[in-house]
Amino acid sequence: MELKRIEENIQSVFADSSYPREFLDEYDQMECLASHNGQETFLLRKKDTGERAVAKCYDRRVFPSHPGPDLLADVDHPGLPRLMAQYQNEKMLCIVREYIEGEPLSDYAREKQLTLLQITDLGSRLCDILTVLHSHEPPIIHRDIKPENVIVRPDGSVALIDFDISRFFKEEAGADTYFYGTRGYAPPEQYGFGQTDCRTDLYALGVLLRWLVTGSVRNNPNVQIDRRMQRIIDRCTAFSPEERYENAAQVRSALREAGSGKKPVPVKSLLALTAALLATLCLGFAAGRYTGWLRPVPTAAFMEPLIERAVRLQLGRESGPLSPEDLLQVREMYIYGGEVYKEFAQFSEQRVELHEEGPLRTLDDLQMLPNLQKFCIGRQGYVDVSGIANLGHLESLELKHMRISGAQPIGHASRLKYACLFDCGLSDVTALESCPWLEVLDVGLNNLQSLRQIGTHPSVRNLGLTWLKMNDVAGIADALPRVETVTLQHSQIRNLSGLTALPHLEAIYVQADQEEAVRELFSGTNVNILITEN
Amino acid sequence: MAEEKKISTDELLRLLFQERSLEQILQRTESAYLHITFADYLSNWCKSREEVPEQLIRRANLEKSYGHQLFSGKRKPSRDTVLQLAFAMGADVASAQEMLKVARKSLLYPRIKRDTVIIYCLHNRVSLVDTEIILQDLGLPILGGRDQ
Repeated sequence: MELKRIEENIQSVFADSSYPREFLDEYDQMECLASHNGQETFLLRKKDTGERAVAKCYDRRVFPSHPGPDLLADVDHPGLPRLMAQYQNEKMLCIVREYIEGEPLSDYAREKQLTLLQITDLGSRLCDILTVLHSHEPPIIHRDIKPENVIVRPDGSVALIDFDISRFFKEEAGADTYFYGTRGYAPPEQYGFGQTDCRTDLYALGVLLRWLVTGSVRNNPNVQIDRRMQRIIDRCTAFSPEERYENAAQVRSALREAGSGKKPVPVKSLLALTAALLATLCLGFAAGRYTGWLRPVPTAAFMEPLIERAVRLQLGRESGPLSPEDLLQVREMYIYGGEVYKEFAQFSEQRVELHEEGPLRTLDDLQMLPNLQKFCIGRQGYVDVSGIANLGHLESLELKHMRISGAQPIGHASRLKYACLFDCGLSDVTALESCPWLEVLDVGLNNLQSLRQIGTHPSVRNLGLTWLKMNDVAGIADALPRVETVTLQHSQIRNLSGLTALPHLEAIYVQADQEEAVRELFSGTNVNILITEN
Repeated sequence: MAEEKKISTDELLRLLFQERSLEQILQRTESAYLHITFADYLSNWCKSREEVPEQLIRRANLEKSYGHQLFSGKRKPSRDTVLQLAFAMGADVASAQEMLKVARKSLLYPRIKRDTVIIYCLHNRVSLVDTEIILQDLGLPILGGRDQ
């Protein structure tokens, strides 16, 4: 019977599994949530009860002296996952903890527009958890506090997960000379500047608060935020640990104060304060908006009517005032020529020959839209794109058939995964080298004459080189080592042989009259040559 | 090789499929899918095959109203549901991984026995029903079981 053969085949492959026997007897591995450098995180289901759990499994070859999971064994707090069991053999150590039902803060914060009050509340709950950890004997430093590791339960309470980076690295290394934690959230001393202590976690907490408030982990002077919040973030993230808060309880009380809006005010200044408040309110109402937790942003005054139309289309608000909170909800915008579209599918159907040149000149208005994730424009004249620089959430960007001021601002959109800069008159796109997540890069129909003007992009998988005039692509395997697909239609690249050195290349898209030459080049390989005119 | 008994992901895959580039396929990202929702993915698929959602929902062994909510985007699928739909669509491993990516679920991971069964069955075009039988015979949780 065919099925029996398949079953035997799989059984034989797994007969010699490296995971501890008792671990596999107790739990079903349901999903691999993460795996890197000899560490795997699994979602589990307990065989007898169906209860969910999470396991961290360590390959002993990579972690020969992991001290085990004693870390949180005696700590019982609703904000921390309970230790359920540990299993080991000569190959693996598996630590099983309670699965915390809920949503990671990274998703939660993007879906909900958190108010200052909600942020200070979340922050103080995290401080409570940190206080428990830091007052443990010996103190436990989490060392990887980031939105992905904070789970918001359906009832709004929070829990801190992913513990096993804590402490043992210190014992392993003897000194804090390793890099650990997540880049961006790790404080200077974690790169080797000084002895790590509880303030390491407070630094990461400060960065997390900044991300919640501004959408960016970096300090951005152009985004104005609540002054008290700014002070808390600044003090959490001060370069020298001495200038930071001493403990989580101090941060908690500062957050509570910022959230309540209460602050001891000297009587003398009350009058001045009232006058200032009135003035602010008047200005706010005059401009047709109210001030939220963000400090006043010039929402009423869009520089570009077309961008305002695109914003209103996304929000479904044809008229009436738009508040800063409204603008925070704009995640995507599509503009082609003088038209705006609700969805990407509509934008992608547009043809350049059917549109007049649009009127856009500047993208400065985008600074009022910090949560923008997808932004696409087609068929414009010369556009100053510097407004893209501060979009900390931007993941997809498409600029087609226009002239832009240069690619530099785009390089500052550091979360960018998808960049299509087609027919933008560019002679250099190396600025995009600073986008570490870039997977798709389309630079077709620009004035790029050599690979050097494209630059080095180690994460790019899909590369668009259509309509380019270049002599060759020698060195492409060093500059873009992970490329899997390349589009070449209408390109005039004289020597394509560099492509054969790409180790992951799976497919090349060509037009019919390029086919023969490309096929010859790749004969005897597994690379697919696909014919398409577009 | 002989003294190293631990089965690595690579070795496991080679054993199963003797196919060099499967790991690359497992990791592949398609640019076209970065922009779309899972609901759109389903609708597009049905449109391109000129098939009505009901047929797909039935083949995926899903409850009808739940299936329609997936199509309308009102509900988000569980990982098992995505895989059931992958079987119902006759997807290969790469397409199934793509669907998981679109639905923002963990990809199939060949060091997990259950995932390996699913990879193997997708690769060899074993039907959803037969795949469930294999999972059950091996004492593994079936797709769309009690967690759903």
